[in-house]
Amino acid sequence: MNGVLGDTAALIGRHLLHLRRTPTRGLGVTLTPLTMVLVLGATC
Amino acid sequence: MLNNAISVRGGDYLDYMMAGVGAQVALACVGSIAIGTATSLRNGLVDRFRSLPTSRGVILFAHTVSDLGLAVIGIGIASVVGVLLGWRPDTGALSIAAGFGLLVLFTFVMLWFGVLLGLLVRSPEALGALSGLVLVCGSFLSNAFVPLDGLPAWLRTLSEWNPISAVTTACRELWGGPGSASTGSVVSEHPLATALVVLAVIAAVTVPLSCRAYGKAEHR
Repeated sequence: MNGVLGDTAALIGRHLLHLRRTPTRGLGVTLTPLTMVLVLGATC
Repeated sequence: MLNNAISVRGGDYLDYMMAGVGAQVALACVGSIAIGTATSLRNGLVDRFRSLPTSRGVILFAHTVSDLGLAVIGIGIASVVGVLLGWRPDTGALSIAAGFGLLVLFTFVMLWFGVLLGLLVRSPEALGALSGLVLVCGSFLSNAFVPLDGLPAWLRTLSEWNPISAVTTACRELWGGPGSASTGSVVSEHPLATALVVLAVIAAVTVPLSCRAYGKAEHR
């Protein structure tokens, strides 16, 4: 059980490191809803 | 901007659309993780993982959990901007947290759908086009951004049974936002229960199929 948790934590760390190195993926996920909030929600 | 042009019964459009924005984070994650999975297959990362003494379920679980962290940041940023624009959920901390919990659960299930898509399609170019389709169809063939009241009957039924409609309607209930008029269907009467059942069904299909597809990919 500890082995599985350790493997999972290590792999999550590896993926997060990869996400840090490829910020464009993060931009796509965060900017799409942000744009929608601003376009739809803001009142002029 | 469109806040001035769209009206919803029983409240402000900003309160209505915030649940849709949260659901859109989950839909945006589908393409991102699908392309990431397909790229990992192409660049030999899967072969490197094959040499590790871990189950393929753990590898995919770690991939989805790390992308879920990114999605939570996306939901957080959108929510903070919503609050700055005047969004005020007023149903109590527990109910508000339950709404966000449902969105995180929906995102997690959609991430598994994205993994399955990436393992089956495998071409980043094709996945780029497919992810746009998922985002647009998911967002606009549902009540995420527009109330269903004025739609033609067939389109209204289609949109109402879209799982995203159940998730967004449940979030609006939990956050005290305005909703569409009830049609008497299971989805509009019991959105939270419907959303949980639908998400459980999608997870029950996508998780084992993803693990199986990943196993096949390993042996190519």
